[in-house]
Amino acid sequence: MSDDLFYMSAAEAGRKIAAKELSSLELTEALLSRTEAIDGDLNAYIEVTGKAARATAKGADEAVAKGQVKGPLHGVPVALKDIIDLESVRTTAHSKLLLDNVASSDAFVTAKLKEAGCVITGKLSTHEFAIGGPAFDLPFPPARNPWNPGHHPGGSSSGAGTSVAAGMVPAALGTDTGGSVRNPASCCGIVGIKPTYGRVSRTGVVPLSFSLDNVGPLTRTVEDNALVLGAIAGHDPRDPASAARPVPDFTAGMKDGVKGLKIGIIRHFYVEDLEADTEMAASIESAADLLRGMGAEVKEIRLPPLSEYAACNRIIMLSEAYAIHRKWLETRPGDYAAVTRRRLLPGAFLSAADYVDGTRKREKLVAAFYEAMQGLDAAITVSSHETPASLSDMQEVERTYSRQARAPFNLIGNPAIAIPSGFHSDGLPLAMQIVGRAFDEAMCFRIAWAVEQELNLGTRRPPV
Amino acid sequence: MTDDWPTVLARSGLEATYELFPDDVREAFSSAQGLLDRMKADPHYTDEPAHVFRPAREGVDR
Repeated sequence: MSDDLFYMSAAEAGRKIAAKELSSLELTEALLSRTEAIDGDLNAYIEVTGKAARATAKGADEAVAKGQVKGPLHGVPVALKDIIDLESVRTTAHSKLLLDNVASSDAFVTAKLKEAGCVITGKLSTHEFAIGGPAFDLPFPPARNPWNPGHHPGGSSSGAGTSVAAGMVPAALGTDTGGSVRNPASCCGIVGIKPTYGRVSRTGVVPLSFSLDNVGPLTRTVEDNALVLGAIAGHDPRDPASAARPVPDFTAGMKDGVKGLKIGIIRHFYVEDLEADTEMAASIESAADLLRGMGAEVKEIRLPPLSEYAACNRIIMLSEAYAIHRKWLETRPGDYAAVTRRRLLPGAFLSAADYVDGTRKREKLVAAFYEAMQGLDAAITVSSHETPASLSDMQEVERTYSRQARAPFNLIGNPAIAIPSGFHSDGLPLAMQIVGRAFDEAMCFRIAWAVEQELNLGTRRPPV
Repeated sequence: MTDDWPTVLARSGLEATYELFPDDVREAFSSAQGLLDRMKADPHYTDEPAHVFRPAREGVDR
């Protein structure tokens, strides 16, 4: 089987399928075969829905024959993090507690993918309930990093990162409450966006924290990410946070370049507040130089310390998550993985006043961000402070897991995209973040695309 | 651990969980206190909470 199909972008696959140069069934079969061949070592999928995927692919090809192409993703395979409902398939959240939880309908985003003509290939590993992992005391093993299977792939959308980076599927949907799309994207050398809060509906998605949860795509290219976000975005009256805003074509200005743009760099997040690995930090500085070289104005900006954003995010997240998990934590605590239980339980000791104070602090932290962003089009900073740790050293995994600068943007609500910024001398990917103004994901894609073209890292593939 | 631990535990509703996982519950209490210290909220009485739904619903450009 040709590597070309495994690593073909969603955009190219969609173009070829529409032009009858490639059939959706041929592509789907190739990716299902690859998954069968390599996923025993990587654990990206919890459930492959091969039979349904083949039927959908066949239907997509028949539609092409009749001239009924639904859009740029027609016939393109996409997989779902296993907290996103797919009708008649289990949504387990990677947990013993939901092993028999069969979805009665599609999540809003699943339905949108189907409307766009996508082929759903199955449900992907996650950290338990999008918070507890990586862990070995769960019903399914943890996903592994295709660049080095001894290391974790980030999370909580772990299977999404692994499957896309390993060429099992060109795109996957994950969720992001404190960085859970951008973390696996960073660890696996791919692209992941947390859209503006409200841009994408969470209906039919197992919640972790109502005011911080987002759904976002993981892909190997920036263009694919823009296409998938365009497919899943849109107003949903069933989600109280859903924005009644038109969805633009996120690819429209993507290739306009960065000349004349004003971009902030939040350096203190990785130099002062929490010192990053030197190669990781150097890759952000190199990206800043690259942007300057392409005609952007890059200037340093300052926000409150990263630790204040992180603590505020955790207090709000844990309070909201505890409200969801309280009953199970009181009656079935042994059915959680130990790490999940330990991460959720602090919510029991936060009072209503603590939660409200968290939201009051949030307002101040949001205001500080907007003040710093005055006159800027976007900002860049680090995503993870180091490359992912080995799964054989769980203490190191625990120590390094919270060393990140993603949670501030869940708190603020603005869009943030993680893209590759190079490779570490340990062979694992480096990554950066680009943060945009509210509902200006298009600007994130525009800057990300310019960096992607200059770095040209997409030809390097994991050894699987 | 606070002198009021039995009261704190009772208020949390986690007595049964504590019987099974005492270390996890004790650590959870310490972790929550640590987070509150790090957040440095110290709000003025007039400070409003963030209304996270507002920008989504009203399309505020920020």
